[in-house]
Amino acid sequence: MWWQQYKKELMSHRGEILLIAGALVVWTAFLLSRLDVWLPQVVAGTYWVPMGFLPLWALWTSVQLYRQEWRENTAYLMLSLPARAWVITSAKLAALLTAVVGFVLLIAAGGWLVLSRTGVLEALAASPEFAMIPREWMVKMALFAGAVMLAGFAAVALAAQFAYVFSRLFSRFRGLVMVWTWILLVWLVGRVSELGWLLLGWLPDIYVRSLHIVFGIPEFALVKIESGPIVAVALFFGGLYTLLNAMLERAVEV
Amino acid sequence: MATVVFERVSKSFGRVRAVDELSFTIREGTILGLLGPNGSGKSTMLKLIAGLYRPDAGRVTIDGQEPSPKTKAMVAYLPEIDYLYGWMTVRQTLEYVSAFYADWDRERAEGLLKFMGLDPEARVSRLSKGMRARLKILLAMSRSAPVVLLDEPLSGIDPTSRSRVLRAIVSEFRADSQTVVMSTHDVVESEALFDEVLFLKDGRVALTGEAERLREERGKSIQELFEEVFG
Repeated sequence: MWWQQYKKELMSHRGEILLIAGALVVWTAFLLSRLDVWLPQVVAGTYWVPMGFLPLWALWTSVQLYRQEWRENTAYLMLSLPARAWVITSAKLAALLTAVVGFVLLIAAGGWLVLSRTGVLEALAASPEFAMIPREWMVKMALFAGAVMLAGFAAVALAAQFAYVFSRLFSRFRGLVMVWTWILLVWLVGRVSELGWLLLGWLPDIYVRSLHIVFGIPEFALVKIESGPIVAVALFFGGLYTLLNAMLERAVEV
Repeated sequence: MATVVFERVSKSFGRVRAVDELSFTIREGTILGLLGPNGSGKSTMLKLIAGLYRPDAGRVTIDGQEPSPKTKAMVAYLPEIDYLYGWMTVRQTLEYVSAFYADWDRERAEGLLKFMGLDPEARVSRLSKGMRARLKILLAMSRSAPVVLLDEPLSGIDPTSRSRVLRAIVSEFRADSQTVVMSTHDVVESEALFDEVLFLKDGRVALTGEAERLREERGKSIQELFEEVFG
């Protein structure tokens, strides 16, 4: 059941996903063709610009995943299926995150190609500082950054989906309700984070090892991350997800 | 089988009251004709059973339970509008929908696919209106759902498709385990199907009863009664 729903979500946006993937390939090819014209640093720097559009795409697509159902009347099918709301919402969220991971991997592969062609990668690999960085630490940091990025995208998507579904409870000014709900949610995340800092300060903190190279000597320092705000924000989004499911199952109409 | 009960149900859209304090019990094992002109509340009534609308007041129950994912598993709903994914093929649509229903009858679906003359590889968006109507009927009748809701299944389709749709309803209906509720304002063609009829006017019951008994008692066909009630 879940798998069919997930497949449906991915397939219904395959055109858009392929178009963006194609645009990324064209962008990479274009920059590679500029290697003899532009400075290598300019080519290597400009390459990462599309990454900035990814959160905007995620925001737009999160809304579209639901909006399209009502616009094309397929909400009749979606809401008449005997599935718990979490099957629908999690499949939509998973499909979006799958596309995001795909794009990030594509950008990373293109980035590797651009950086190696511009010589930036070689220069970096040849630097004595680079040789000092433990591979294990690099892998851990890459995984940590990936997890943080994915959580960020999931949060953006969830807030946008909630805002859209909430707007469906109104018969008028839905666009306005959706925008204001989104703004309110962003504001609430800030307040909840503050509250978590105040009330959940007793929770054990998280420590991340950061690497500094001082006068050619690698030094690890422990960076403390307060876990209170993180737990509070995670609970907030958990609540938001529960509310989204309740709305879809018990309140929203076609 | 499942009993559908409306208890003083009201549903409004703005100032328009689509269903007005409606109380009615749909008898099990029958084909009920839900009759009335446009805007009489037929579609709203079906959407309330399917759980696509929530009542403003009163209660709708299917086998004693208010609409939920559990009751949705007991209901096969065919809306009047096109509600299928246009990019899917007929085969993909069947695979997608069947994954959600434990009562999906694969053999019956294959049989209906042939009977309806549908190409499994054709895209839904490329199908004619008549063919889309046939596909919708196929989806509703391929299940052994205790309650089948058909909202204007004959609306705007060609005579050949109408005849196939009606024949499919008759041949696939299981009186021992199913209740079919079919809304229509094309009474002439479908009147022979109905065991019971419910005439809806401004969201209220204008007339109801067993089709045969009404014909005998009043000496009129259902079509003539329709004209009398709504004329």
